[in-house]
Amino acid sequence: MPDSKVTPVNVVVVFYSRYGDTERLALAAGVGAIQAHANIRMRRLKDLADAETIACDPRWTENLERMNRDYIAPREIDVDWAEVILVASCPDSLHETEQYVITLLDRPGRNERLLIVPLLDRPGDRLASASEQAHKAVENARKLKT
Amino acid sequence: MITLRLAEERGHADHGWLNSYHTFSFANYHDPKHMGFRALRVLNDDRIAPGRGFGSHGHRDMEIISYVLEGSLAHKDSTGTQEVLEANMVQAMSAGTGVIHSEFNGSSKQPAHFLQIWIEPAEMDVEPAYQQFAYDPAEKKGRLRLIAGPDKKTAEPAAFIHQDARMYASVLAPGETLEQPIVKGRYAWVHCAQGNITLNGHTMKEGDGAAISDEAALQIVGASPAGGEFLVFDLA
Repeated sequence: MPDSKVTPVNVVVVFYSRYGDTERLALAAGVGAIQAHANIRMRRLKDLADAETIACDPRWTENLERMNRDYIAPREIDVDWAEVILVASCPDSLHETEQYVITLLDRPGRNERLLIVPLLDRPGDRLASASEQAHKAVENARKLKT
Repeated sequence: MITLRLAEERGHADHGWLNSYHTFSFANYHDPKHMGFRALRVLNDDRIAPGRGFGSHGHRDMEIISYVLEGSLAHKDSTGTQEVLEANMVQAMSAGTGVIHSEFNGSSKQPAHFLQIWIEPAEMDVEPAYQQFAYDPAEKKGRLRLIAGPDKKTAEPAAFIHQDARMYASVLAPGETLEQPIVKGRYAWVHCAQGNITLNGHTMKEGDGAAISDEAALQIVGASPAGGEFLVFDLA
């Protein structure tokens, strides 16, 4: 890696997506974090819906198959590694991310300095806004460290 | 001076779905004596099981070149590019300010074997870019076929990289000889990708590398039984 003068910050982008729309938002946030010189991990939350429900929706099934290849679910070691967790929720179902954030907050021995940042789906250029939000979160985490 | 880097001395990671040999330090393999050579930072020799691959991950400020030896590789990135790469095709990505991409074995039956090369860019924060091109394998027989370099205009299609470095590919039949002068003050790296070659009298097998400095020329000969395929890097 080329030498970088900035303090590294570890970011996990956690998202829940069914059709790929929230995934795009999460990817934009990931790129924003890299632009701010962060190390990133992309993680997709598992579906809470049962297999039968998913099977009824071909679009969901198709995207799920692809996303299952592309992402693993967030693990404990990802949380240990993270200094910032960006959370992108799916407007179709908020349960997955809500439950995940609760487990993060209830986690024994959790890092008090871990920034948990919900990614807001702002109107206008949504992807640019997601990148911008990630960029700011990384800068805030860096300030806390130094 | 020629310093050999033997295949069996490289870093090795076997994840089941991914069997990877690292000529230079990479991921969990870290050896301060092997951190790269000149601008050449990473040379990974990867075999990916059918249908498996690297999920979405990010890069920045790196020129990343993929050279497929066998099988195919499906690529998707945050610039919106989605491509399938096969043997005799080259992919080059300038990560610049940052990209997220994934790479998968494009086949559900055949393993994929490819080399992934990272070259440090001379310039930071360039706009991310993706390039892919195919070439006729005859173009690398008996000669150095330019794969990537800093020239915007080239006689044959080649990838543009943000560094004063050139990567060539070549295939030599047994006994076939190739002579390449080295400009004074420049360096070279040779990687034997498949088969056997000799480099200025040194025998090289698949996976062997060689750091070259203060030499006037390279003389590479295809060795028995089947000759060899290799990469040459011309480095500042």
